[in-house]
Amino acid sequence: MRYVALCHIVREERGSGLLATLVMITVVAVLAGAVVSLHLVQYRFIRRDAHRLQARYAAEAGVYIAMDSLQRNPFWHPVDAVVNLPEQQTSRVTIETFGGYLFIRSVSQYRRSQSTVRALVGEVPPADFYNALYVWDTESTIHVAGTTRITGDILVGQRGLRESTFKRRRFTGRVDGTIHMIPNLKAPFFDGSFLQETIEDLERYLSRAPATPSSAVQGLPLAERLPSENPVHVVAGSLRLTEADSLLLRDPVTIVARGNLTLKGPLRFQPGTLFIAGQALSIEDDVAGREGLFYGRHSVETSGSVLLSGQFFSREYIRIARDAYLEYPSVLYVAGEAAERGGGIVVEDGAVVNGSLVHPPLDPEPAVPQGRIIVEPAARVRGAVFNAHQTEFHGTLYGALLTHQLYFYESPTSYINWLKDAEIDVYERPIKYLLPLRFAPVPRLAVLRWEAHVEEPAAAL
Amino acid sequence: MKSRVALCALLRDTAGHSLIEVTVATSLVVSVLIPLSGLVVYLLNSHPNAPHLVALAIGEQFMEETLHERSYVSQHVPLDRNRWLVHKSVSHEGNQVTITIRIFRRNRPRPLVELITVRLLS
Repeated sequence: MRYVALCHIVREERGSGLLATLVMITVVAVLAGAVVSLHLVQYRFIRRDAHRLQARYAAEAGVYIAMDSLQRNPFWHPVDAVVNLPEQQTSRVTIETFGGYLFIRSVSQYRRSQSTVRALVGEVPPADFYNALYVWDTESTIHVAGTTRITGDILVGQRGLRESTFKRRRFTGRVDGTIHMIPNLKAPFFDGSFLQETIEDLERYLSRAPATPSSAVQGLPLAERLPSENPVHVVAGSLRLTEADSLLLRDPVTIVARGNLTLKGPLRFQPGTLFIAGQALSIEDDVAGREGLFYGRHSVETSGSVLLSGQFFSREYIRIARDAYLEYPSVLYVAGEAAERGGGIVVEDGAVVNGSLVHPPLDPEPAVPQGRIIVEPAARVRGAVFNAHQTEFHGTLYGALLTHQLYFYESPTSYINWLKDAEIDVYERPIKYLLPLRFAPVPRLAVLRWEAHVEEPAAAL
Repeated sequence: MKSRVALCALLRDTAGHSLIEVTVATSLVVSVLIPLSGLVVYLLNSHPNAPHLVALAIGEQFMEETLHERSYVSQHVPLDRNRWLVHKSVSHEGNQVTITIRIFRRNRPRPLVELITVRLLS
């Protein structure tokens, strides 16, 4: 019955004008609504972009405020602090040591956008590192011989520096820079406690297996993760990692072997990976990656074509063999305790190190300095060499050489404070070069690398 | 079966066709114009001249230039024949520099974009 009535209405056109008008008004309203809502959606997208950008700047601000606090108090060491920013914004800052540098992670939220940045932070070289050569053994004259070329200022004791003939071979190099002769020249400032704490932290991995962080922490994106959040793998004896173990190194991890640890290439590791050996750590052949940390209590040695950026720590001995290329920012650090056993750092012919070689003092004024840094003739270092002991330097240094004594042996004589066939040019050092920490009483910190800008919706969403 | 017969009868009978045409036309308009209008709005907003996009781009560019060149000085910069006004305000506290960039459209009291960050004096 109702169906028949509808057909009747449809056939009769009377009243259809009102219906048509209503339909048209509805259509226009729907269209207008759609336009407005689409406009609003688009507007919200743009606002979200702006909020994300503001969240990123806030996260970066958190890093800089943390750096400022660290400069004013180098021992400020928050694990998880909330930093107040302008306009009532905040940033959650976590600071963690990574070898000689710091990782600062900052998480900020603006409205509903959240941004996380992770920065690797080093120290701006203090004034002493703008000299080409700084030798603080004031007992004897410094002799430059052979083809030695020095470009940059030189700081030596009051006995000065002399261009000398060596075994009837005349000096054919050159010295381009001012020679400052300073009576009672002291060693440059260096607070070894920071790097010593790093070694103690690494030793802790060997003495007791730290608990692997919770799965929630491990679930963080790699770019946000700090090295302390790595999964930890501990082996009681010795360990040899080969290509077959590549899957293990797919993420940043901490590998601890209480005996020897051998990395046999081809192997690739992720930034923030730690390799810790209770005895010797050996890196062989095609091992590559960046920002690794390598600790061998007795030694760290490379062989074959190694291409990586890494911080190498040992209590006794580090050897970088020919064909190794260490990218910036690499650090070679041997603590002073084992100096009397002939420890030190050796950079062999043909090896390249971009970064810092540091061999700190056991005794600030040693009676007999023994541990050595040896840089062989065709080796190249770009950065700085800081050595409280003896340095045997025959290679090329684009940066500063700061050492207690110079040394080399040519049968049958040991030559103290002689520099032969070396090239040092402080002006060739990259402008943005940063040191590991604590070479100044009031350190100036700078960001070495922004590790990540991760934007994501805030957890509150 | 009954309804099919009724529909055929309705189509044969031209009476009432204009209402059907109106309905069909309306459906077409709705189904074509809504997506089309959405597209137009999208194109308008994603066009480089969309106000908020322009303000965001100007803000980011000014901030990056400020950070890169370390020009930590307050200034007001009119842009594009005064269509835009950039307020850069810098405040110092100890070693910290707070940089605020606000992008205004002409004759608008509220900024379209506001960016704030902190850097250190070297």
